[in-house]
Amino acid sequence: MKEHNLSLLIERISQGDNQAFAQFYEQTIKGVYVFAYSYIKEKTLSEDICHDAYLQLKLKAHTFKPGTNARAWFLQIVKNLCLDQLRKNKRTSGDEPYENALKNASYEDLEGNSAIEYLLKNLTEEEKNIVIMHVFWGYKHREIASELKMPVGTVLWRYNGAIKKLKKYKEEL
Amino acid sequence: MKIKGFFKKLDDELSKSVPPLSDELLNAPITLKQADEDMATTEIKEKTTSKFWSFFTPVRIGALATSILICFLAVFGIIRFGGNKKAVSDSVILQIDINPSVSLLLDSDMKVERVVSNNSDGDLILKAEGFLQEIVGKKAEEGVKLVAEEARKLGFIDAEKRGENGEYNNLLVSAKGNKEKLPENLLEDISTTVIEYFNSSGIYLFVECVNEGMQEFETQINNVKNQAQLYYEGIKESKEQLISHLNNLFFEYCNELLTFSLNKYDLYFEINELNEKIKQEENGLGDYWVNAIVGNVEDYNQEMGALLDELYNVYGEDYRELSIENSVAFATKMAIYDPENIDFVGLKQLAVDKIDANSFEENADLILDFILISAEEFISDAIDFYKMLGDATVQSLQDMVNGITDRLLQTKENLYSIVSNVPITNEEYQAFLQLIGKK
Repeated sequence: MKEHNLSLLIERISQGDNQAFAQFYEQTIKGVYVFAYSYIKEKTLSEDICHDAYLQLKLKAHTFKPGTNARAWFLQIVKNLCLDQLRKNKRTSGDEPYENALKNASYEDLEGNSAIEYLLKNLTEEEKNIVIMHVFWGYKHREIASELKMPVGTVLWRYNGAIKKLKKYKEEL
Repeated sequence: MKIKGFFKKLDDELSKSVPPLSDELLNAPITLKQADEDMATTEIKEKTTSKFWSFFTPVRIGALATSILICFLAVFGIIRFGGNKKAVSDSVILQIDINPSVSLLLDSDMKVERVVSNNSDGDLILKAEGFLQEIVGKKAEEGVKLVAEEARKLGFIDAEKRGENGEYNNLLVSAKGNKEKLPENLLEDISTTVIEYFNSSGIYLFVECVNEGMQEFETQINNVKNQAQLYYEGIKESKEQLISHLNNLFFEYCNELLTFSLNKYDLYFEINELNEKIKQEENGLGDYWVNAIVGNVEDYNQEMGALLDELYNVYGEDYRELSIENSVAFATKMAIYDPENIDFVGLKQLAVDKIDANSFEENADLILDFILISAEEFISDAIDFYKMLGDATVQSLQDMVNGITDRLLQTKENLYSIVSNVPITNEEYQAFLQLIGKK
């Protein structure tokens, strides 16, 4: 998805354009869903996150600064909702930072049969982030490197490694 | 399963899994932006457009490419506005065809007044650092020699071609102008100067000079005096022509870059192989850099030294210093670029088959490996840029051509510029002429 298009759509949403909102939803829902799922690891809650994220979009579109990164802006909304959800779920102990909980939470409930579950179960946290950002959000590797604060070469290397893992997915599972 | 198949399946699953846009969500109120907070949409377009096309400015290539462009513009400005006040009939055009094809405009003193490129490979010659500054004002024979030498540095004159199997380097100089104004020995002087120069460099080059008199002179003199110096800058009428030009350039760049990157990795593996051998030595203390510090590797110094010199001179990576840091750095490099994870066999085949438009679809995995070993993020960006070609303007297409030409120039210079051949004797050159049937 094109960053420029998203930026324009948010601008139009902030002016009350519901059609722009519908277009934005259509263009981004898969990316939001898989992003939320990678955090929450549960289907129904991920759908709730999606709903809340787009409600937040309607409430906050007027605060978006045109010319800044629309994808990063919206993904931060989604991420904040995911972290709030995790706190509510009390998957953390009293003192454990919830960011660690993301890394430590497992995909035990996922059988890994579907492509989504296979992706979430078999990639490392870094690989998941890179694949989701590149495939679903259209980030270039250079942009991912900047967002995740790692060298471009490392991003390419991790992405390549992730692709090789995903290629092992078999339909007959 | 092929990765395209996996992502297709993933997309299908997501299409079924994602919640549809509910009426509740659609009808939820939007908090509106206040009028005085608004910004012009045009401003967004301008920002993002210029940010988009800025991928192809020389700034992204670095200071070297910036200086090439500055030098070129400065010289171009001087030539364009300096003007030739002497009579047109005193001028002579030397068209030099190797490929590349370049035309020199000579003044009445038979010195280079202006240079234009006649094709896209000629653009690479003109954009080489310092070329235009150096050639203007030079005598004709020196000018032709400079063009030929630049062509050699970019791989258009191949040191390996020695006349066998009918393959030889060929330089054709066609002089156009008033035959009476042309000095008697000019063409002979050009031929002698160029042949002697290339013989001393150990490169066989057949030089042919012809005097075409006033044939097509009137048409060509106007072009050489007035047209844009770079070939691509002259393409303004047809976007399709520019796009076709851009496509050819881009794939040429990909292929040269792939060859360059594979050559570099061959050198890495050669160094690594020797290093592993050193590690196995009985009295060895570790790899080359560690052993060499304590003087344990005299037998290997020359061999390893030569390899490390090549890595530095050709590829700009310096592991020559004997230090623990270099030991660690090289080990880290080899760990990252593991042949277990990169399909070097596939990449070498791709270098033979050549990258083209289909490669990005049919060989996507290999293209990923190519991007990885060439560490060239431009390639992965270019895939998206190509999708926008239909919306591009002539100016933005020319910007893209300029950007890719700079990158191609740099890659070709890195790939071909180093040559070390034994000088050719006159007897050997005569034998070469006989071999190719020119004597």
